[in-house]
This record gives sequence, structure tokens and C-alpha cells, in this order.
Amino acid sequence: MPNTVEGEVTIECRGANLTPFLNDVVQAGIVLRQIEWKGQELVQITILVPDFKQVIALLRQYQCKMKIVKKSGLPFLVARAMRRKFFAIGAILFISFLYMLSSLVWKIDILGNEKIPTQLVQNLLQKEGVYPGQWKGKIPSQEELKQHLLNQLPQATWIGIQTQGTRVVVTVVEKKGIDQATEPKKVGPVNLVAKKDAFIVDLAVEKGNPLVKVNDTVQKGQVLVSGKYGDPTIQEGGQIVGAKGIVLGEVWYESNIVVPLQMEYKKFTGNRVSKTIPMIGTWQIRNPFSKDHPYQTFEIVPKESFLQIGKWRFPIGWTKEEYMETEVEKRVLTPAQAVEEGMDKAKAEILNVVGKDGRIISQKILQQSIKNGRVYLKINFDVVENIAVSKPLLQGE
Amino acid sequence: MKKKWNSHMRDWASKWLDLPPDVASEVPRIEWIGNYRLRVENYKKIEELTEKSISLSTKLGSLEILGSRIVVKVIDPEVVIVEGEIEDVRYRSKK
Repeated sequence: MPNTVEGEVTIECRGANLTPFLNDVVQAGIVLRQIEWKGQELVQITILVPDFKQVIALLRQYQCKMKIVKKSGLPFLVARAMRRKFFAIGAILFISFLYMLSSLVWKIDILGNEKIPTQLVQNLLQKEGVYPGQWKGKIPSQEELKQHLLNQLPQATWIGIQTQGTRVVVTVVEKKGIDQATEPKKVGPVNLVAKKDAFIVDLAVEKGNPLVKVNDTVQKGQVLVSGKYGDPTIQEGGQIVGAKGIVLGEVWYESNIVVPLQMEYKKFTGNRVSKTIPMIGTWQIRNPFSKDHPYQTFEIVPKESFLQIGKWRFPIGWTKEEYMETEVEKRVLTPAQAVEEGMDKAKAEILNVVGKDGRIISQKILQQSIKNGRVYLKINFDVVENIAVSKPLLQGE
Repeated sequence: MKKKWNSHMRDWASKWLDLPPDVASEVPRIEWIGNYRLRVENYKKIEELTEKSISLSTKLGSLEILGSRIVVKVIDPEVVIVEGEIEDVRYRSKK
């Protein structure tokens, strides 16, 4: 191997005093290889490149002639590469170019957004320094990026950022449209109309002309508060102001709830074992002889980390897998407990439906039965809620 | 005179210190592997080199290696490795 690195030259020497010459060369501490007798006064020897000059000097001394037969080894390879300079430069450039291109972001995919315009997310990402043509190393850390984006996108509940090769995938989870629905839309003056059949309990009118009184029974679609002053039966006249206010009506709900008497759920026992697996790129080098984890039921939490110097990430890293033992726990309810739980569930559902102004006045279990290990409940709720919804006043009529 | 004294001391050392004779004295040490590879230590000079024979000068006189297609594989001031179809190795005394 060292011969290849230093380079070898095979030469043919012709002369009368070959033997003394060879002896002198050896005495000078030069290692000769492959000395072959080729004929009268002709010998072939192989020497290392660094010794070449010294050998030539000795050859002159003994008046021998020399011819190079073969050159091999790294120095000659380099020399040849130097001669084909442009080819070598091209090869190096090509590889570095390829590497460079693979460390750029080429595409940004924004997934999961319905209401938030893609363009907006793109602009925000651009401000944070994530755009096609950016170096992957220059992208700020995920946590930072998520935090910044979330601050600027109040409509999003969660943002995930993933780098897949030259592609950045941004997953946006939007908030469910509750706050937008409750926000009053600016559609000009409105009437307040009953959302459903109800029994009026209370009126709190800020603006407009109330057309119903407490203890009235109203039907769905009936105008509760008119946006026009004056007698509603007279079409002409009357100032249009628009209605605003809350009309609380008593409404009945019926909900059907099923509660299983037996429930199974997974629980962590707290026992855990972790394994570290080296990785090259995405290839995991698993040790087939490593001890297996002792758990029957478990969950794996993998965590990848890569070697990183500054902003340069190496494709060498390791995965830490944490095996956490789980246990299935059974919970058995008595029918009474099940009913209680079903009731809580139903209440929570109802409160969710009636909104912030609603409250439950009373509840009554209409039906209760146990079948196939489940408790079936039919519950009637007496609820007071805001039944008023805005309906635009048609102008020009 | 001095040289004689030197060799005398070497013999004495090899006897009393129980050293192998090839380490202690300047006589050649030859290792012959099969019939194709011969390693000679403690030689002094190449005397002659042809395709059929090599003669090396040693303390005990000239060492002749005979055979055919003989090539010196490596040579440095201490060791010669000869390869080829070696048929005969013999000393020819100084006198």
C-alpha cells in the first residue's frame, strides 16, 4: 500500500558496471524491488518515486543508460488527472453541485388549511426564511418556527413542519369555526328571528322593536325583535335601526346516551427500556443480538437525533427508542354509576349545543334500560337558551 | 586484529547469553520457502546477477543461488529476497 501511495517506477538500466551500481544503490539505503536480469548488461529494477533522483545520480556515476518502462501509483494518477484538469474539475463540480442542490428547499407544501389562504401561510413562511431556494441549514428550528407561525395565525390551533428531502411539508390544523360563527356578520340592519320553537322566558333588547312578550310561545322563523320602529303591520314609515339583543326561550331537548358498563383502557405502568440504534441516512443499523424488551404490551416512542456541526447536519445519527410498558385496565361500573356518567355526558353535550347564554333548568330520565352490558338512557332536558338569530332586513322592499 | 577480537566476543556472547547464533554472529541466515523463495539476511554485497544465478558475498565467502528465472524481489542493506525456480544454494569458500 505505501508503494502505491508513493508511486513506483520500473526502469531498465544498461551499462557495463551494473553489479557495483546495484551494490551502491543498496548501500545508499534505497530499497530495490523486482531486480530482473534481462540480458547482457541489461537489468530491470523497480524503485520508489522519492528515490528516483538518487538512483539517476548513481546511474550517471556508473555511466549507465536508463529507460523508464512502467510508472504506477498515486503520483502518476494525480499527474494524469492534472493533465485532464477540466475533466477532474468537472467531476468535482458535478458532485458538489448535486450535493448543494440536495441541500436546498425546492418545494413547500401546505396541507390541511381550508379557511386560511395558502398564500398567507407562504408569505409568513417566507418572512421566517422558509422558501424555495433556501438552504435547508438556514431554516430556523422547528419549535421556533411553529411558535412564530402560531402567533401570526390565530386561526390555527396547531402547525407541524416536516422536512422530507428537498420538500418542506407544513401541516396546518385550523380551529373549528366557533368563534367565527358567533361573530356578528356585518350585513346591515337585521331582524331577530326565532331559531326554534320555544317559550319566551326573558327579553333583553338593546335595539329594535320587540314583537313578543315574556310567556309567549313562538315558532321557528317567527320575528322576535323587528329592526324597524313603528307598527310592523304598516309597511311604510318607521325608522330602520336594526335589532340587537338576546331573547331567552325555554326549549326541550331529548338526548339518547349509551354507557358501557365495562370499559378497557390502556395505562402506562411506568416501566420503560430504551434502545439506541445507529442510523446512516434513514437506514437503521439494528443489532440482531441485542436484548429484546421484556414487555408484552408496550408502546414505542422513537426519537431521532443527527450529528450536527453548526448548521450542517450529517446523515449519521441515532434513534433512541423508548419502550414503555402498558397495561390494560378494566373498569366496571354499577348501573347507578353508569347512569350518573351518562347524565354527565349528556349535560356536557347539551351545554355545548346551547352556547354561552344557555343553562339547564331541569333534566329527567325518560327511559333507562340495560342491554348487552350497556346502559341506554333517554333524557329530557329543559333548557333556557338564546333563541334569537339575526336575519337581514330586506331593504328596498 | 580488531575484527578477530570482535568476532571472538560475539561467539562468547552467543554461548554465554544463550542467543541464537544468527543474531549474535555476522554469518548469513537463509530461509528457503519451497523452491521458489529464498530470504538471505546478513549478506554483504551482490557479486553477480544473471537470470540463472545470483551470487552474494558473505562473511563465509560467496553464496551462490542457482536456478532459472531468478528475480530479486526486494533488496535492502540487510535482506535479500530472491524468487524464481531455485535449484541449488551453496557456499564457495573465500580461498
